[in-house]
Amino acid sequence: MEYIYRWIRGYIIISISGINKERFLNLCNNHKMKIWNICHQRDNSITLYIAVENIGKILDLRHKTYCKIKILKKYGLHFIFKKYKKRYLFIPGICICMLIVWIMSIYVWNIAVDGNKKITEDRIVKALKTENVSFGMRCKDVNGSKIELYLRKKFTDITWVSVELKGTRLIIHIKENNDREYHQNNTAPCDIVAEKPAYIESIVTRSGTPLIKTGEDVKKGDILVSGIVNIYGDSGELLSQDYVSADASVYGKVVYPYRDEMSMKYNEKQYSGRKRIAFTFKIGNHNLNLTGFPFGYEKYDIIADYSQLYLFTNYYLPVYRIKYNYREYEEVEKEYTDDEISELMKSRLAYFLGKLEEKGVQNIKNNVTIEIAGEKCISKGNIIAVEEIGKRQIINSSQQMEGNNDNERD
Amino acid sequence: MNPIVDKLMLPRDVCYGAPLLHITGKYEGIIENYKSIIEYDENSLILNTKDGKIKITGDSLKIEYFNENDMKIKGSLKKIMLL
Repeated sequence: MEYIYRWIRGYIIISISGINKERFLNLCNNHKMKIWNICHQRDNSITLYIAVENIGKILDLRHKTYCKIKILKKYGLHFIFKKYKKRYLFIPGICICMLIVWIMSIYVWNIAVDGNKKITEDRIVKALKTENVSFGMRCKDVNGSKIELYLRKKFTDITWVSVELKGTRLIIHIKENNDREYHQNNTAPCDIVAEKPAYIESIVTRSGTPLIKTGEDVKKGDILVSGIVNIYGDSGELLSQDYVSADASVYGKVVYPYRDEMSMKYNEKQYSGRKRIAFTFKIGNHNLNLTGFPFGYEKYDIIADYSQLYLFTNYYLPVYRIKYNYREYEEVEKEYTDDEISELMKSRLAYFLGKLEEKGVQNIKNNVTIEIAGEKCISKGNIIAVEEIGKRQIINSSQQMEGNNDNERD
Repeated sequence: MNPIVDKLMLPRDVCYGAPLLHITGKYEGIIENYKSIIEYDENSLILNTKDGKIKITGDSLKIEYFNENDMKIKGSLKKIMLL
């Protein structure tokens, strides 16, 4: 604490040399000057720290004791003020800077989405924009509960949303539902219908009345499991109909026709090795080009790397730094060899199958053949896959009314 | 010597201004009731007191602070002599 007090008041380090150094120290003490850290040096001088208000007094003592005094260093606020006395705009500049930082902190400059897998960040940000939640809005206008409710309604796959405002950053934490069968209104009466034409492999019904059997062919839209459960009396007459939410796992064989075509000729990019980097700053919607366009390149690739500037972890600024990488290339016409193109076709087919697997399709078999015909390579065939084909379809109220009337008539 | 002071067992440093030395280990000491510094270098410090001189010898002696009442010295203390 004392150190801070001394620093605010200001102090200097001086060096005293001469024959009456001790007398000088005693006189300082008699004059009640604040001195500390007195240290004898190898060159027979003494260094000491002295408060800035005593500088005038020690000059008098110097004459009395015939000592040489040398100021070594100056510390403290007193000297900082003295140093920047002539820089009139320094303090107003700091104030303006702080004001700008404060004004910037009023607005949201970054929207981040956390926890999304299926729903892209772009979709969420676009959806929020329709609700006037966007880049540049005021922080105090952020209504967390409203955003949460909106996102849950808009995206039924989102099971949990939390909105967090940190600095100038709006972070939306979401949790997605990974269960395919999940529906918000899964207690409502519904049928299970075929999503696509298929050959039924297996059916496990948990609730509802199954209308198909294993080994049957179904068309798109056919009811597989009905949500209407007929209740019969002892003598076999229909007593009533109960409406339930049908629940079943129906797996069917589905045929995906596959056709892919590629030309044997292609243009290959041969990079000349010439490349250039350009920087641009984007402030709001305005681009500030600093290095100019790389003229002289006929054909080139551009790789743009956007990075938003920030002061601290959560204090983002509305300024983007864009780094453009220009790479010059020449196009050379080439032709695939038979092996190359068949490998390429196989990898494209593998990619397609991989995408199907990601959707939950199992036991994939295919009879795809690759043919080279003239200047083209065609791969075609069928992919046979087993997948869940059931889709819930809510029984609308008019159907239910009809059913009830029928019951009454009976 | 004042007999009353002796009878009442009053502290001599308060009544007579006798020097008072507090030594903390080998490296630190506080001296009260000294009058002035007679000699100071990095190996010795001679102080004038009402009861005579005090010589402190050691290595790298440094006066941390000093005022009219007391002073604090730091360094590797070796000897304290009352001259």
